Amino acid sequence: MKRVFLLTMLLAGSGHVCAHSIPTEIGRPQLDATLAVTARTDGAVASDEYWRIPGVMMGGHAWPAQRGISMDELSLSLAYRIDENLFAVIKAAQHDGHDDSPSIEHAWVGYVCCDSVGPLVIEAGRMSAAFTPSVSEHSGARIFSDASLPADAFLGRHFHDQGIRFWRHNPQALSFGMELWQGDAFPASGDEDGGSADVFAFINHQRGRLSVQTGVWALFARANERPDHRYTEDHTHGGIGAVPPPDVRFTGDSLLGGIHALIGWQVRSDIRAALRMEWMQVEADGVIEDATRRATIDSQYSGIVVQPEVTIGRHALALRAEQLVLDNHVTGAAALPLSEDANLINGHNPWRLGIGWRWQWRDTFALRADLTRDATLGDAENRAAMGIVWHQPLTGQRRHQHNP
Amino acid sequence: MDWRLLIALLLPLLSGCPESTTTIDDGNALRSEFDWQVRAGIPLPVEPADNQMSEAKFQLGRHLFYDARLSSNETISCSSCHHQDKAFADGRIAARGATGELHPRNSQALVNIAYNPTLTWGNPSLRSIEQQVFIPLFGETPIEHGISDANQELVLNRILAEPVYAPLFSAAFPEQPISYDTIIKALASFVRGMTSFSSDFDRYEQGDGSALSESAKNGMALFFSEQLECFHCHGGYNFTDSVQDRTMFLVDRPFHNTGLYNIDGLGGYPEPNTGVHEVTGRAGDMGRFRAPSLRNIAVTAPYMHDGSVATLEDAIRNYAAGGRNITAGPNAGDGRMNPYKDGFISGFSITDDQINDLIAFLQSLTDDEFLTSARFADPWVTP
Repeated sequence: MKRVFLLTMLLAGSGHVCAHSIPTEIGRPQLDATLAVTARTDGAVASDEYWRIPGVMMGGHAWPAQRGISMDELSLSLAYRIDENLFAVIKAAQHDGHDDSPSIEHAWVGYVCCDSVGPLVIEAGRMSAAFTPSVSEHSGARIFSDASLPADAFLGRHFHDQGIRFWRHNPQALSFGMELWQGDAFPASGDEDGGSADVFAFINHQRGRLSVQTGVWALFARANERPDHRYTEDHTHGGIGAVPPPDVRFTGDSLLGGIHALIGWQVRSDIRAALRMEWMQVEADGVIEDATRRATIDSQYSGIVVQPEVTIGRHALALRAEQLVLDNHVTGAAALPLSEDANLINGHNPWRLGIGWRWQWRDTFALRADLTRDATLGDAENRAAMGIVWHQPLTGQRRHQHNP
Repeated sequence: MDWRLLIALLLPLLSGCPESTTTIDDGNALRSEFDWQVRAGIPLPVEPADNQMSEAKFQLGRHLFYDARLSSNETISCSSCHHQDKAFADGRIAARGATGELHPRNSQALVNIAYNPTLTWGNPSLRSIEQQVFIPLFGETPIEHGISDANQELVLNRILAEPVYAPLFSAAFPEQPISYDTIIKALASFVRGMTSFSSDFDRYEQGDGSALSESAKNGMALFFSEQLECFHCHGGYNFTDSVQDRTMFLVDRPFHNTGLYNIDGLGGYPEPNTGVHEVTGRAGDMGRFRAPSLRNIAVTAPYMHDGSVATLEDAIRNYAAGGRNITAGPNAGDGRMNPYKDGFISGFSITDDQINDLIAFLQSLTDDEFLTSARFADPWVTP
C-alpha cells in the first residue's frame, strides 16, 4: 500500500517538477537525463505556416505543436554540491522547433546559508526563472504534451536568461524572493535598454488529506525593438514559408502578474484528485515599428489555465481548459498596417481544451496521450497526441525542489 | 459535444468576458477625398499640402497629359514618351524631345509614382512630382517639350483657346487663373493618381491561390530568397526599396550601383549617366540609381536607366553574374568588378528553368486593368 501511495504522489506531483533544484549530497555528482517524444495527428499550424496567435506579439521559444513525430525535450543535467554552501548546475537541452539546436539552458552556481532564517539562497548564472512553474517545468513532467497557452503567448514558453536570484527557500512553508535578468528571455530584450526583474512568493501547506501549493508573482520587462525571435533570427527571410511574416518589433515596458495554485485531495491511498490553475495578467505599453513605420500600442491581456485531474495508481487523467483575452489599442498613422503586419487584428478569445492521460509504466518511463481542441487561431481544430517520456536519474541522488 | 459549453464550465472566471479586440486610431490617415483605387492593405500616398488631390485636378491633368499643344511645336505631349499600354514607359532605349534631341535616359514607367520619395533615376534632391513635371516642360538639357521664355505665352494661349479646358480648370482650381502653376499641379495630380494594384500577384496576395501559376509561385520563392536577394532592393508592396506613404515616419531614399558598367576599371559609368554622382560629384555615388518598382515590369522593356538591357532574362543573367561584363566597344569594362557595386549584387547560380520561373513571377506583376483602363486613357480620342 505504501508503494502505491508513493507512486500516486509521484504522478500527482509530476506537473510541478521544475527544471532546477538544489543538490544535497556533497561531492556526489547528480546526473539526470530526460527524453520526451510525441507523435501528433496535426500541428497547431501547417508545416509551411507561422504560429502567430492573433492579438498578441509572440516570441521566445513558443514553437507550435508539429504534425508527426517531434522531440519535445531532450536534456541532460548535472548538479553538484561543492561543499556545505556551494552548488553548481549545468543543463544542456534540445527542444524541437524551427532552427532550434542543442544549447546550454542552465549553467549557474548557488550559495545556501542561514538555515535559522531561511535557508537563504543566492544563485547566479544562466537559469530558468522561478517565479512561476509554467516557465521552468520539464515538458516530460506534464500530463499534456503541449505547454500552457498563457505561458506560450505571454512568456515565450521557457524563460532562460542570465541573471541573479535571491530568495528564502523553505519547501515546507513560505518561500519568496526576487530575480534580476539580463533580458534575453521574452518578453524583454537583451540590449542595454532591455532587461527584466521579478518578485515571487509561494507557499506549501498540507493538512491531512489536503495539500495546497500556491504562489503569486510579478514580472517587469523592458524591450527595445524586440522581434519575434522565432522567425527573424539568423536572417531567416525564407524560413518556413516563401514569404516570412513582416518584421514588426516592440519597444516598451511590460508588466505581468500571476497567481498559480495546485490543490490536492488524497481521496484514498491510491487515488488523488487535484485542481491546477494559473492566471496571468499583462499590461504592455510602447511602440510597434518596422523599418519605416511606427505606432503606439497599449495592450491588456489575460490568460487562464484550469486543469482538474485525478490520479489512480499509475494512471493520471486530466482535463485542461485555457483561454486568452487579448485587447490592444493602437494609435498613429501606421496603426492599421502595422497591426495587420504584427497580426494584432483579432475578434475572438483564443482558447484550447484538452483531455490527457498519462501512464507511469515504470518509475522512469511513462506513456501519455492527449486530445486537444485548439481554437487559438480562430476556427477550432482537433488533434491527438501520443508519446513517451523517459526521465532517468543516472546517479543516486537527493535534492530539494525549488518550486511547489 | 458543445465545446463552448464545456470551456465555459471549466473557465467560469472568463466565460463572461467580452471577445478580444484590437482598436485602431489612425487619425484618418487612411482616408482621402480622392479615390486612390488602392486595394486593402495598401497605405495611401502622401498628398502635398499645397496640391491636395481631387478628381477634378486628376481629370484636368489627364487632358493636359495627352495634349501635344503643351509643347513648343505641338509635336509631343507627355504621352509621347509615356504609353499606357507600356505602363507609361515607351518601349524605346531613349526618348526624343520636340526638337528631336535624344534623352540620355530611358523613359520611366509611371506606375505608383505617388509612392516614390524621389522621382528621377538618380537625383536624391528631386522629391515632388510637381518639381519633376517642370523639367520636361521647360528643361533645356535635353529639350523635351521645348517650352521656353520665348514661347511660353504662345503655348499657354493654345491651352486658353481650347474650350474644353475652361470648365476643367474652373472645377479643379476655382477662382484661380489658368497658369503654368495650375497646369503643373494638374499634371502632377494625374500622374500621382496612376495607381496599379490589380495584378495576378495582388489577387494571390488577397487569397486567390489560383491567381499564380506554379511557375510563378516558384519564381516568387526565388525572388524572396536569400539566394537571389531580389527583394532587398525590390521588396514591399511597390516592389522597390524607394517608397514612402503616409504611414511612414522614416523615409529612406536609396540608390544602388548594380555593376552595369566599369569603363575605366575604377567604377566609371558612361557620361552623362553617372547616377547620383551626376548631382553630388562624389566618387562613391558613381553609378547609383534608384531601384524602380517592378510592378508592370514585363511591359516596360528595355531596362535600366539607359535602356541598355533588352529583356528581363538579360537583366536576370546580369544579376546572376554579379554585374555586366562588356567586352568590346566604348563602354567596355567588367561591371562585376565595379568597386562601388551594391553588396547585394554578389551573383548567384540559377538554371534556365529557374529564370523562366522568375520571369513568370515578374509577369504576374502586370496589371492589365491599369494598361487598358479608360480612367488613364487619352480623353481626346473619340470612341
